Parts: sequence; structure tokens; C-alpha cells
Amino acid sequence: MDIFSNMALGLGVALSLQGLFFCFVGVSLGTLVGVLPGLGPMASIAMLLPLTYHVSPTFALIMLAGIYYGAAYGGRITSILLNLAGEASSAVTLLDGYPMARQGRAGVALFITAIASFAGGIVGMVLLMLFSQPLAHLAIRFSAQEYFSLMLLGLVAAALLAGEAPFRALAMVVLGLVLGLVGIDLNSGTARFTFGVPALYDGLSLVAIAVGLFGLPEVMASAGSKEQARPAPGTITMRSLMPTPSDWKQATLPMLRGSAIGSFFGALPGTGGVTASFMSYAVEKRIADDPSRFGKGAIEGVASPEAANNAAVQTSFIPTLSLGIPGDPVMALMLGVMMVHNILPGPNFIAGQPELFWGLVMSFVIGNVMLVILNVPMIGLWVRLLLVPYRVLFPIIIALVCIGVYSVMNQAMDLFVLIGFALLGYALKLLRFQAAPLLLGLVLGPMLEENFRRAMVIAGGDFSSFFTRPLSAAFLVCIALILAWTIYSRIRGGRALDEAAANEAG
Amino acid sequence: MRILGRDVTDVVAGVATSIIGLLVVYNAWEYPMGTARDMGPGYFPTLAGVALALLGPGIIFVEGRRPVDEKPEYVHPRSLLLILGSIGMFAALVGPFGLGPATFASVFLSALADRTSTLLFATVLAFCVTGFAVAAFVYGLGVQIPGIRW
Repeated sequence: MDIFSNMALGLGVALSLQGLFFCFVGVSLGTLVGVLPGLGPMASIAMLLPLTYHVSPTFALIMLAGIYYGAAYGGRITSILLNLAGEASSAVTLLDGYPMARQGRAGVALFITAIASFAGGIVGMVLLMLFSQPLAHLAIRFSAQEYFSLMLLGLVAAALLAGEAPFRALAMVVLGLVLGLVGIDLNSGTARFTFGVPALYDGLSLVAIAVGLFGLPEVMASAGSKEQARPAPGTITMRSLMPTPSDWKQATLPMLRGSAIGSFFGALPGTGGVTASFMSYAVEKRIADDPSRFGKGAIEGVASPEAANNAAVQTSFIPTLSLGIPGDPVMALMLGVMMVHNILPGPNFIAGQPELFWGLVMSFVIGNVMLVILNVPMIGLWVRLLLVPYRVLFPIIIALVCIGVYSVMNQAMDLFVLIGFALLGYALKLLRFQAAPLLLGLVLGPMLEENFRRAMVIAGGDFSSFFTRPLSAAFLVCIALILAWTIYSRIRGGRALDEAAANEAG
Repeated sequence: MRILGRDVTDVVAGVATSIIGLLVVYNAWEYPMGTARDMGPGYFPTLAGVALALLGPGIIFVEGRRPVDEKPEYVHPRSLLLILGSIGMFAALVGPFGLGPATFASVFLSALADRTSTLLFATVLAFCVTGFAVAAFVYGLGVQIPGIRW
């Protein structure tokens, strides 16, 4: 089938009444939760996941993806108006977004970032259409060795390329792997790490873990704080939204560069929107005629990272859908939910369920159009949401979380898992662990073990087969390169730190 | 605070990581190891546990070198207790009494986590959210939980 008939097939799904409805629900809920201060995409998706369990798989996937990129749109409103970063990728946007807001150009910043997000989203989506199928064809020849090595690469890359603390990040990945083992081992029927609790035989509830680790610590922290940041009233009018022609001229190329950078990092295993937005900001600053404008309200500084972030959101679907291997923690969460819906992404996914894949891809176009409408003419609605006192919002969030987590399996045990992981999430925050890699380990854990065992059966217990098969060996070489680079940059960085400390002391 | 010339959070983080790793190994011993060719259910967990235990010292001795000046963000004990307690209350009530009472209790309790919220405010908010939740989830989405059970 050629690409146009596939697109037509996808449009049929995405433009159906149900498709439009769930896409709309997804992007609006995503924006809604993304706007709430302190809740980044990860927490937003985690809290809204349970809603998708009551919808058929195709539309659940459309809605879920809508929540994801909707939350990215919503997060930027909060960071520009309140100077609050819900998550790391909007931390870049506020560098220049908040100065713009203080200069009375909040409207322009919001408008340009909405357009940049749209541009990035569309570029990423086109690449997703072009590259998913060829990659899936390549992956059909993968055996257990290749899968194991590739997953290991994804885990190592996620741990070492994203964060600053490699040992902590690796510890999180391995802890996630262990938590993923909880439940009945499918090969032997042994119940592992269940401590005699039958409710754990099916494994720990992914939703409970995700909400517990990412949602609740944020809610608890905000609930206890005395002050609530609010946008200055009356700053956003229709007129203030319109960029001047020179704004357009300054922002167009950065949007395209951001889209390209974002697409690249999104498709790479282990890196996603955060890396992409930081990189694109750095690039803009480097090539600018006058780098000193950055940090003081440069429009390139908001346009490029937002485009990069949204392009990365789209292209991170490439490895997830065509290989079944999530590129970043948010995708791990998505993959986990797909598995709950009995959707198994992988080499056979696109060929086997074309209406699902193409329906999802086409829904991205529609969702992004909806988001521009929601974020440009209707921006005032979301700004007003920031005025609702948090003491009204957070009890509602708690109730929705409880209902959501419970209704997946109707199991009270899942709520106690939720409490446990909220405490763990809080402890991890105090000990300066980043919980995101844990989720990647958790979702990949069972698959990693399965492929490890299968590979060893095929090779007759010979570990060298991971190195002798060329593709598997190539993945392992990538791991070695990442390790070497991490050690190298640590030694260099460590020396710089020591020198800085010595200078201060002297 | 510093222990052995290292930041105390690094020491606690490293020690906790190693202890969890050892506990995993200890637990995995209950399951048959098998051989490399035919792995038992204990093989992979043991490897993971060993890896975890080995990462602990790295956190203390390699990462512990970095100077740290940021202060941890402590959650107020009141909001910690009330919010987690409200989830526990939901878990305890939803089975025997249904969605309505469980939602009411969780909203009421968690609303009190904010020190400026009054009992009246918490009650009104709980009534509104409960009404909305029962209407939306039980009647709207058709979730398989009774609205109220006697």
C-alpha cells in the first residue's frame, strides 16, 4: 500500500466522530493538567491514564497521545506566565519566555510558542510516517540477542545521556527492572517478590507506580506551600497575542531548526524532549548575531525549544511503535498502557494493525490543529484556570487519582501500592534521585529478562553470541561509547569543579 | 551535613541502594537459579540485585565528590499525612460502601491538608466533587463500581 492510501485509511479513523471526540478530550485534558503548576507531562499522563482504560484500544491510544502532546502545550503557558517549570523541558522556555512576559509580551510569547509547537509537531509527524515502516521491516530480522542489546542500549542511554548523576540514574533503571519482576514468572510459574499477596501476582500496577512517583509528590509539595503564584490579571488580550512582522521573521528559522534538532533527539533511544529543547536553545544562542539578548526575552529562545520539544514528542513514537522499545520514560508509560490494552507495538504492529497506526498518526495532525485553536483564540480560558485556588484543585486531583487507580482492576491493593510509591517518590526526591529512568526499567524489565533467557537458550548458554551477531554487537558498541563518553566528560567536568573549588578557596 | 567528608544525602542514597540490592539478592535465592543455558526464575533477579548493590558505592564515592548547595524541599507533615491518609481512607471505604462515600471521605480529608481550609469548605467541596464523580464515572463512563452500597 502506498502512503496516500494509508493516510486515507488513517484519516477515516481519526476523522470519525469517535476519533474526533477522543482526540479532543485527550488534548483538552492534557492542556488542562499541563497548565496546573508543578505538574509536568509525566505527572499529567500518569493521572489521566485510568480514563483511557474505559475506551476501545484505538481511541484510547489517540486520547492518550493527545494527553501527552496536549500537556506539552499546556506546560508552556505556566512557564511563560508564572516562571514555574513543571518539568525540565519547559525550564528552557521560561529562560526567555518569562522575561518576555515581564516586558508585556506574554501574549506574543504564547502565540509564537503555540505556532512553534505546531510546526515541530507536524515535522515530527511526517518523519514518523516516513521512517516507522522501514525500521519495522529491518526489525523483523531481529532475534532475541538484538532485542536484548537494543533494550540495554535504550536503558543505558536513558540513564547516562539525560542526567547529571550516572550512578543514581543507573540505580533507578535497575530498581525499575527489579520492580518489573514482581508477579508470576511466565516461564516457570514461580511467584516472585509477591510476599504471599495474591493481588501482586499480576505485577505492580503501572498506573499506581507512575502516579505515586510523579504525581503525588508534586501535589503534596504544592498543597503544603503557603503562597500560590498567579498571573497578573488582564495581561492576555487578543491584540497582545499578535506578533509583529519582525517577530515572525526572527522566529521562523529557529522553529525549523528546533524541529530538526527535536526530531533527531526524539527518535534516538534514551533521549527525548528535554535533551532536544536544551540542545536547540544552545544552538540558537551559539549562532545568534547577538547572544547577549538570550535570557532577556529573545523570541528565538522560546520558538526553537518549543518546536524541538514537540517534534521530539512525535518522533519518540518511531522506536516505540516500530520496535516496541520506548525511547524515553514517557514513552515507556505509553507502551505500558498499550500493553494493558493488548496492543503490542513492534515490527508487526504497523503491518498487522494499519488502521490503529495510521489512525493514530493522522490524529496527531487533527490534535495539533485543535491545540492551536485551544491555545490561541481560547488562551484566556487557561490563564483563568491559573487563578483557581490550589486548595480547591488538589482535593479534586486526589479524588480523581483514587478513582482512576482503583477502577483499573477494582483492587484496593493498588491504592496501597500508590501510597507506597508516593512515599518512595518523596524519598527519592529528597535523596536527589530522578525517578524517570525507573519507569523505563519497569516497563522494559520483563521484556529484557524474556529476551535474555531466550537468547541464552538459542545460543546454548554461550554469552559470546551477543558479540558475534553483528547488529547486536553494534548496539553493544554504542553502549560502550556512551559509557566511555560519560567517564570522559566526568573526569573533565570533575577537574573543572575541583579547580573552581580551589579558586574559591584561594 | 557531611559524613566522612561527603554530603549526607549521598551517603544515605548509596547505602540504601546497596541494601536494597542485597535484599533483592537474598530474596532471589529462594528461586531456582538454573544454568546460563536454561535460566531459572532466580537468575535475572540475582544479576539485577548484584548490579544494584555495586552501584551504591559509586553514588557515595564518585558522585559524592560534587559540592551541593541546594536545600531539599520538605513536604509539610500535615499535608503528607492527610493526603496519603485520604487515599488510604478511599481504599478502605470503596469496597464495602461504594464510590460515593469513598470519594467524599478522600476529598474531605485531603482538603484539610491546606491549613487555610475550614471544615465547612472541606464539606462543601467534598459534596460537590462526590456528586460530580458519581455522575461522571458511574453513570457517564459506566465504571464497574457501585455509587453507594449499604
